[in-house]
This record gives sequence, C-alpha cells and structure tokens, in this order.
Amino acid sequence: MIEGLLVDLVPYGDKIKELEPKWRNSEAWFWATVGERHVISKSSLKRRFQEWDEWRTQHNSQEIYFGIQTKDGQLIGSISMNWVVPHHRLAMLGASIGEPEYWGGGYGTDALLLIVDFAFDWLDMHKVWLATMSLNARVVRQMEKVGLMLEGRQREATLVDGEWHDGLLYGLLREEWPGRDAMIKKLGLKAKAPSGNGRGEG
Amino acid sequence: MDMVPLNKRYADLMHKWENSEAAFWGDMGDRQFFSRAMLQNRWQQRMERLQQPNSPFVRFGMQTKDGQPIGFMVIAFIDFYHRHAMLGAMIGEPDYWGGGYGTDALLLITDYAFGWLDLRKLWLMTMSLNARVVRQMEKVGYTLEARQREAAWVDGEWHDGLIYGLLREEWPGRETVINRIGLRARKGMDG
Repeated sequence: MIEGLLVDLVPYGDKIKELEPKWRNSEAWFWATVGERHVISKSSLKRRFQEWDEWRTQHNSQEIYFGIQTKDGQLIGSISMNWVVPHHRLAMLGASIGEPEYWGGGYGTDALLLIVDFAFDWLDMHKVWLATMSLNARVVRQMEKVGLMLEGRQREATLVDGEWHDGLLYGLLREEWPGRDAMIKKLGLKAKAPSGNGRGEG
Repeated sequence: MDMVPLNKRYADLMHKWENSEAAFWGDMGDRQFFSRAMLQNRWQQRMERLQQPNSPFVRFGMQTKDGQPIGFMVIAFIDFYHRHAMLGAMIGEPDYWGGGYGTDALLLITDYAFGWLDLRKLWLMTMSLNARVVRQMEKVGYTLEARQREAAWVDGEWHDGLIYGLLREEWPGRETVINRIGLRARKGMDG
C-alpha cells in the first residue's frame, strides 16, 4: 500500500474487479476512454480480466495497476502505468475514479501525486505522460495545477456526442518534478478530518 | 512497390530485419535482440490475432516490382469507435532507404485506410533524430501534432518523440500526391 493524504494506492485485486462492471458501464468510463460509451456485461468483463492476467503473465508485462482507496476503506477507482518502456524509462499513466461523488474533491489529484512520485523515485522513470480529450475540463485543470506540460494536440481524435474533439497529450520530466511534498504544499492539499465515529462509518 | 500479404518469406526475414539498424529506426532507438524462437513465437501470436473478428491490426508485406520482399507495414490500434489508427512500417533492407519505396508504401496504405477501411484519421510516431521520416511527413502532408519531450533514449542522449496526424479531409488522394512529389515507377529490370 502506498499511503496518501486522501487516498491510498492498493493492489488491483478481486474486489476492484467486482466493482469494474459498475464503473465501466457508467459516466466514469466515458471520461476514461475519451468519449466512448461502453456497454459491457459482467461475464465478458470477467473473461477479459482472465485473458489480461494470462497475457501479463506470459509477457512479463511491465504495467502496474493500483486501486484507489479512500482513508475509510472505500474503493473508488484505479490508477495505472499502463504502458511502460524500460529502455526509454517512459511510462504512460491512466486513471479513472469510478464513483462520481469523489470527482473534484482532490482524490484523483492525490492519487496522481502518489503514482508520479512512485514512477520517478522508485521505478527511476525519466518521463511520465498521459492522454485525455479537450472536452475533459477537470483533467485539463488538474494538469495545469500539477504541472504536466501540454505536449501535443491530436486534432479531432475523438468522436463525442456527434462532434469531433481533440486528443491532448501531457508530459512531465523527472527534472521538472519538485517532489510530492512540495506539490502538496503548492496545491494546499489536506487530509480530510476523520468522520468522528471512530471507525469512519459516519 | 506493392503491398502483399505477409507470408512465410517475411517470417523468415524477420530475424535479419529485427536485429539490424532498421529495427533501431523502427523502435525509436531501442536496440533489442531477438532470437529466432522469440520471433517465431511472436509471428504466430500476431497471425492468430489477425484472424480474430474485428482485429484492430492489418498487416502487409512490402515487395518491390521485381518481387523482392523489403519490409512490412501495419495499420495498428484501429479504433473502430473514433475511426482512427496508427501506422507503422519498417524497411528491413537499407538499400531501399531514401529511394521513394517507403513513401510509395505510405501513399498506398494511407489510401487504403481512408478509401477502403473508411477511417477518418491516421497517426504515427517517430523520433526527432529520424530526419528521413520527418522529411517524408512534410512531403506527404502529415501534420506534426505532438512533440513528446525527451521520450527516446538514443545513443546516450534524450531525443523528442514526434507524433504526426492526417485527417481524411486533408488527403487529396494518392494520384494527386504522386503528381505533386513526382514519384515515378522504376524502369523494368529486363528493359
């Protein structure tokens, strides 16, 4: 477990896989897949996870997936390095908060700071990058706040609600990263006060 | 240049191509070593994947007009929802670099992707060090859409990754581009 202020990063295990059908058939996945509206059954997603696990085992995959868990133990989404190129020390990031009530509250940002720090400090990456769409104002704002640089605009790469929107690519080099502590201070990110009942069931 | 189905001739040449300088350019400076067994295994998996319904990959061999296999091309990560795909290519035989062969192949596959697969956007990646591809992109009319700073570690230095894109409405068609860049067939070998 990697401990943050609002969330912890936990292993991507069976509990999350059981929540994924709900998340992947909801608006969360619309944002994560840059505008696709998925309809996927529990059983086909289960089969896809099985195939994925087999593939990862066979190919000695370098991807790393985490669950995002709030401090009172609720799983709310996932964050990953879903494409790692060891030679170039380059990792692509992906994330999705499946539970909409945790959008905009700093939970995703906390998770992002954790995985970026993990990528640079532990995995010794040189660069992390990610893709979103121009329509995703929340992510665009988050990128500006956290300091990832807009490196590319893939014109009309996504069809959303009958209109073409640009794909955006953001990148961050290790030498540009001031470290998680400095970033927390800059953003004024704070832990939530405990909900009072001692064990979080408020 | 013709685009032909990838057959056993190409499978046998992969070991030579993937361990040569061609792979260095194809993999953005990553020098990997491939055993015959690894490549045979990978070939088999790729061929199986091509046979699945809705395969997001289309692969072709590149063959000169006198029948020599010189490389291969791939339309990869076809996104049937957003109607875009990535292009990849490798000319394994250095004798055929810079002679218009790769450009001919690029025009063919671009036309095929828009005209036959009905895609709306094509994109590809290279590294800033690859002057031949950068020149080719300008000539053929792909737009530089992203510069991923220091995304490639090559010979002890960081180089940028470049992403180029072309929208269907920007594509004037193969004939027009052939005329514009003055691409011509070679004279036949036996005159």
